[in-house]
Amino acid sequence: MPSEIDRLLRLVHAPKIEVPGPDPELERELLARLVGPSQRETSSSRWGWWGWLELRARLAVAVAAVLLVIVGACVLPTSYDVPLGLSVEISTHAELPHAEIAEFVRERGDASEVDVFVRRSEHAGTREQAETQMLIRMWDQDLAIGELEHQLREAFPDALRDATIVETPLEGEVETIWGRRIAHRAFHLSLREADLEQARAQLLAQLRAQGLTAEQVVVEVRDRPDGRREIKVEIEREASSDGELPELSLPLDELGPDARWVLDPHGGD
Amino acid sequence: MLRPRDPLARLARRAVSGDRRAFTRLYRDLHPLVARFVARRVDSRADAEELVAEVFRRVVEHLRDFDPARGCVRAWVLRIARNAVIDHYRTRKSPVALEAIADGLCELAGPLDHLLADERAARLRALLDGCPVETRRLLSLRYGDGLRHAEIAELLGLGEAVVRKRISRALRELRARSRNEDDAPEVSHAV
Repeated sequence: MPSEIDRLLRLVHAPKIEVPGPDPELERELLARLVGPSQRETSSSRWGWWGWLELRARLAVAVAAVLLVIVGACVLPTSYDVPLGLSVEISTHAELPHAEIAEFVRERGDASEVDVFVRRSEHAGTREQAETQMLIRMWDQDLAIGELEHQLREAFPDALRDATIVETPLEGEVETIWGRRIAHRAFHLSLREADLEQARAQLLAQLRAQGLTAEQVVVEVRDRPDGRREIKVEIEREASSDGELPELSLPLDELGPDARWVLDPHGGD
Repeated sequence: MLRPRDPLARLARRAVSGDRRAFTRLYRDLHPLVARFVARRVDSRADAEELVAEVFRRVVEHLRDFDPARGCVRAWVLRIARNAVIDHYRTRKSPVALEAIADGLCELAGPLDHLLADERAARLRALLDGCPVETRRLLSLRYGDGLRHAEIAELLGLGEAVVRKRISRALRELRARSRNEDDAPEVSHAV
């Protein structure tokens, strides 16, 4: 804040006459002196030829800089969740027509790939308490949740009368760059196959870590894109408390006449 | 020593290369400085307008010679204005001391004189009259022309720190002398 002496000093030194303001006429005269008559004529269109060139050059530099920033941002890594498919888990104490259900799901044709797992938990001597779980994984990005349960119950009313059916979406994390992420979101471009495979591999690893460690029997039915079906059976026999291995009863022939059994060499016989 | 970048120097360079907008901005930025500097040193508005125009004509004439390495644009223009004022009085063959006029030390009567009727301003004027010429010159450029310390330094060929110190000391002394006068009894008491 100016002090009293500052104020007085300004007052004492103030001009004694009115200070003249800018003079447009003088400004024009000075401009004419500065740029000269030849340039005055060429710059009648405000910018002039050189000005226009300079403007274009600056614009080009600005656009290049913006593009550089955009490209730089687009190659930055990012990750986000994408739908990969649908998981349907059917649990029942009754016998399940696995092969028919697998065939039914496959023939719906709205998934590009279908995996079927069957697990039958059976304790020695208590066959009535045995529980069958069927896990169907349908791989496709555009599968609607909540439809399959209704269709399955309609197609297999007796077998699924007491069954519990749970549908859950399968989501995986795609690790990609911002450019592809924006393109995918904004323009609905399909994801790269490699990105999808990677996301699916990660998801499968998580699923295995979560739940498929204690099963006694896993039967995997996989329909390949070439139309062939591959069935893989993994049998893990857990020893009972007295050291005896439990007896296993597998309705293998229910999987259908086309089935090709592949026994896991590491499993039991 | 590193100098802060002078935005007016950039405008001057562009103006020289024919950029009309740059010159317009340069003119409008410098006009208040020049107009005030001149108006404090002449006694009529007509003279002020004529001198301001003359200063800018000289600026345009020598703009290509301006060297930013040797100083800032404002100080360069003020030197031109100072010379223009000296030339103005020289052609009039006025008996006033040209240097005193150019440095704003010579008071000219005008319509604002009534402001000095303010008792405190009048007292300050008296105190200033008792100050050395160098001090009055510094205060005149600082408070009359509104120049920055660096500009005053450049104009007078002094260091910025020297200018800052001298102005600060002058203000301190003016305050002290003003306070002493306030404390002094106005009427002697006779018994």
